[in-house]
Order: sequence, then structure tokens, then C-alpha cells
Amino acid sequence: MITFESVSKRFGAGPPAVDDLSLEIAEGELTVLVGPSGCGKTTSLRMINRLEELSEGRILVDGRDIMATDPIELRRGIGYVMQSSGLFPHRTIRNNIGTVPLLLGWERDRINQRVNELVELVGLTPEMLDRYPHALSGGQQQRVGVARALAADPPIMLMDEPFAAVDPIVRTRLQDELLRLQKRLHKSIVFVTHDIDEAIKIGDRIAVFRDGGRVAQYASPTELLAAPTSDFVVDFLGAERELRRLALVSVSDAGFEMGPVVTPGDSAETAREAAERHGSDWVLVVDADGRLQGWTSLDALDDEPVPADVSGTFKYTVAAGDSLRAALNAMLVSGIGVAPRLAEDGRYEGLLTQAALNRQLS
Amino acid sequence: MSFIRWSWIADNPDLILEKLLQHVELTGFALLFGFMIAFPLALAAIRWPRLYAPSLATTGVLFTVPSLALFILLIPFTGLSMATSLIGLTIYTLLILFRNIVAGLRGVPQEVSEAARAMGYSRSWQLFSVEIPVALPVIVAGIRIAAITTIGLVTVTALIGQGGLGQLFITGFTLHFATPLIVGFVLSVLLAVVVDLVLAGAVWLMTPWRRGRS
Repeated sequence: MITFESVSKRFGAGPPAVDDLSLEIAEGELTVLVGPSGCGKTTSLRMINRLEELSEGRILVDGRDIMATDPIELRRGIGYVMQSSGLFPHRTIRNNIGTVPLLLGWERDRINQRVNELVELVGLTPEMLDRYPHALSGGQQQRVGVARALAADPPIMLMDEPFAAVDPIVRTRLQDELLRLQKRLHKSIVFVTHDIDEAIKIGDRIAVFRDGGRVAQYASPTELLAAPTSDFVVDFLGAERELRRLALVSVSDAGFEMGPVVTPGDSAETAREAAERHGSDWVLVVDADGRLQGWTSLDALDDEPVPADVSGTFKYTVAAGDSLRAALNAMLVSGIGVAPRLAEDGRYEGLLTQAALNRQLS
Repeated sequence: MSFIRWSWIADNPDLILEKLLQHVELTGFALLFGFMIAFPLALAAIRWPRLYAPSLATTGVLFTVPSLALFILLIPFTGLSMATSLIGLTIYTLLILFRNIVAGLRGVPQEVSEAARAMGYSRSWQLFSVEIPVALPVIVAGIRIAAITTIGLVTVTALIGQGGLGQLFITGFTLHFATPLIVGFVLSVLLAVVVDLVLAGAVWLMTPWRRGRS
């Protein structure tokens, strides 16, 4: 656990970069420090391994005051990943990853073994080990940066906007892999970003910083989105706050209904009754095997029995594990404002309606 | 009369070799001493940036002193000795070496130094195992220029009784005899080319990480 106790940091005479910050960062969680540039989030991060010395207050790591620890020892025990990978250009990828173990005096064999493990873990290939950093893409360099930070298996990792400099597609992949890694490793990660979407996606808890190094709110992503405590946080979360909330809730958490379901061959009368019960002018067509065929309006039936292939098809369907944001997207393009939910085996389970989303957001 | 008398070369191999070796010796020591002064000075100028401007000015002014005047100024103190020659030659290497060492170390990407610090390098270990290796190409580039300059300057010290191959110039001049002059000239140019190539090769060998870079 990392504890900030009334920590302030001043550079020269100006206003403090970090002002009376108190924060508890839980063990084994991914804590995100997010905020506009110049809000003190990076300075706060860098004080943890004493890259910046604090001016006032105390920082405790596992109960020990960091000022009582030799900074070099302290840094060797804390992983650090930075925005530009900061790899050593004159060392091979193998030696870059093995940096801290070498400093700690591990034996060559043990270092090599550890490097080989890490390469797999961060999704690189062993052939890359003997190359130099300049031969790797930006995304690959960041992976090496993560592997280097993990090398000596430190319980704490500090990550300073590690994915800010890579393109959006690679960034998404790196975020997913970080989450996957974290599921296995349970490190205490402090992650700085200015991107609220990134914070919401990866954070267990989020500290929203505002100008002058103060924390405006410290909460879990769902709490933050559901109950922002100040206008600053509302503004920072942006106009799409509700959409972001939907992204955090899965389809299985929302209610669904059967909807007006008919089978191919049913009479037009049966279809009309089903639609009336549901209050719609369309029906869903589900075959005898439970497969959703599509939808048709009553007008299009023209008093004929329900055909097997109908004109209305669904571009997207959702499953229990999808987010409500995906469900909303499916609704928007469905033509009839609903999102069909399918079971894992592809059978029709029910319908999500906008009313179900509204209930989640209220 | 032919332009060059080959028999003179055949008759004086020992003399030519001796002068060549002296030339190499003077150049080598001047560079060594120059580096020994410029390197700590450069480290100090990086550590305390305020020192940079005065250091640059001092080595710059020394560099502009006409070489012959400098050697003559030194004679009352150190006589017509090798020391006089070496002090002068060393002084002329300082500006180039100092500037290139500083430029090389300053050119180390900030994130590389920062990463080393964050990984838990001590300050001196960071300098020797990260920053100097990364700065090496620029530092060696400085040594190459300083070496070529010094090889040229060594010949001037012939006027105070040193001078390596430069003495062959004097011999040729006083005897009105072109062969030693040409031999001295050709050898000093060859020496400069060889030293430059050797240093370029050395830096190529020491920096595998720069190869294949676009």
C-alpha cells in the first residue's frame, strides 16, 4: 500500500505543483491518476520513487517512510514505465529487460531465464531479444518497457502515460494486455494519464486531479460516473458521461423481455396479437430451433402467414458479457430501437429496450 | 634532376621511422593529456551548467593563439623540450575535445537518462554505463578531429627542435633538397588518414547498435 500524507511539492517560488495531497493507494489494485496537464499527477507519481523529492508531508510504502529508504534501493524495488519507452539504445532488448536484475546482482543464468519468461508475458517474440531498440515499433518498445519494469518482479509499478505516444489501435491492445497481465500478477499499479477513457477502462480506482495538485474526487469508475461530486469532475468526464457509464455495465446487469416473438408459419392474426401485447407494430421471427431470423412489420405481412425469411435483419446482437454501450449501438442501427440478446449458443434470449438502459442510468 | 631521390629514402630508413614514431608519440600523448583535462572539465560543465560558458571561452581563446607564438612563449619555462611541444599541442586539443564531450553527453536523450535513474542506477554508474556509451559516437568524432589537427600541428614544433616528421621539412629546406620534404609531407598525410580510419573503425566496432539504422 502507498499512502500520501499531506504531501506538497513546490518547484521554486510559484504555487505548489502538488498541494496537501492525501491519498491511499490500495495493494494489488490499478489506481489511475488522471487530470488536465499541469495538475500535478505526474509529479505525484514521481515522488513515490523519489524522482522528485517531496517538499512537505510523508509518503509511506508498505508503512515505511520513503525518505528513510535509500533512493537507489527504493527505485530498484519499484517498476517504472514511461511515455517514451526510454529504452537504452546501446543495449539489446535482452539486456534492456535485464537491467534491474543486473543491478541487483543476479546471476547471468537467472537473468536470462527471467528475460525469456517476460518476453512471452508481454507478447514479444524471442527473436527480438538480440535486436536493438531502434529496430522495434513504438508499440513493441512499450512492451519492452513494461517487461523491463517487471523484470525484478517488484510489487509496485509506476506507469507515467505509458501508452500516450502510440497510435490508438496499438494503445487499445496494450491496455487490454495490461489488464490481462494485472489479472495474473496483481501488482499495485499507479497509472498516470490525461485520457479519461483510458482511466475508466483500466482503473480499479481513479483519482481525478485538478489544477494546483489537488484531488477533486477519488472513486471507482462506476461511482465516479454515477455520482461526480463537483462541477469540475462533471466537466472533466465530458458530455458523454452517460455513454461511458453504459460502457461499464454489462448486458447481464440489465433487464430484458421476451418481446413479440412469432415462428415462421404463424398466422397474421397471431402476429398481430403478439405485437399488440407488446405495444409495437412489428414482431420478431424466431424459428423452431430458437434462432432469430429477423423482424417484420405487421403491414409487410399483408395478412399472409409469417414467412421464414423476413426483410428486417439485425446488424448487431448482444450477449450477456457485452456492455450496454454495445447494446445501445445495436439499438441505434436495428431500425426498431431494440437490441436482441442471444445466448452463447446463438439462441434468442430476449430483447433489450431503451427503457432497460434508462433504468440502469437512473 | 628527378623530383624525388629514391636513394635518400633507401639510405635513411631509420631516420624516417624515428621521426614517424616521434610524430605518433607526440600526437598520442597530446590527445591523451587533452582528454584527461577536457573530460573532467566537460563533466563539471554538465553538472554545473554555469561552468560551460567560461570553459568554452577559455579553451576557445587558447585555440586562437597562433601556434608558433605559443611555443615561443613556452620556451622560457620549459625550454626546447618535448614538454614544450606537448603542452602546446595539448592546449590545442582542448576546445575540440571539450565541445564534443559536452555535446555528446547533452545529446543523450533525456528519457534515457531518466529511465536509468528510475531503474536505480547510481549517478556515476549511470554516467559510465549508459550516458558515455550513448554519447560515444559524438565523443569519438571529436577525438578524430582533434587527432587530425594535432598531426598537422606537430610539424610546427620542429621549429623548437621537436616535430616528428616536421623535422624532415627543415632538413629538406636547409639542404635545398626536396626528397625529405616530400617524404615528411606524404607520411604525415598518410598518418592522419590512417588514424582517422582506425578511430572510425573503432567506433563502428564499439557501437553495433547504430548499424542498420535509417
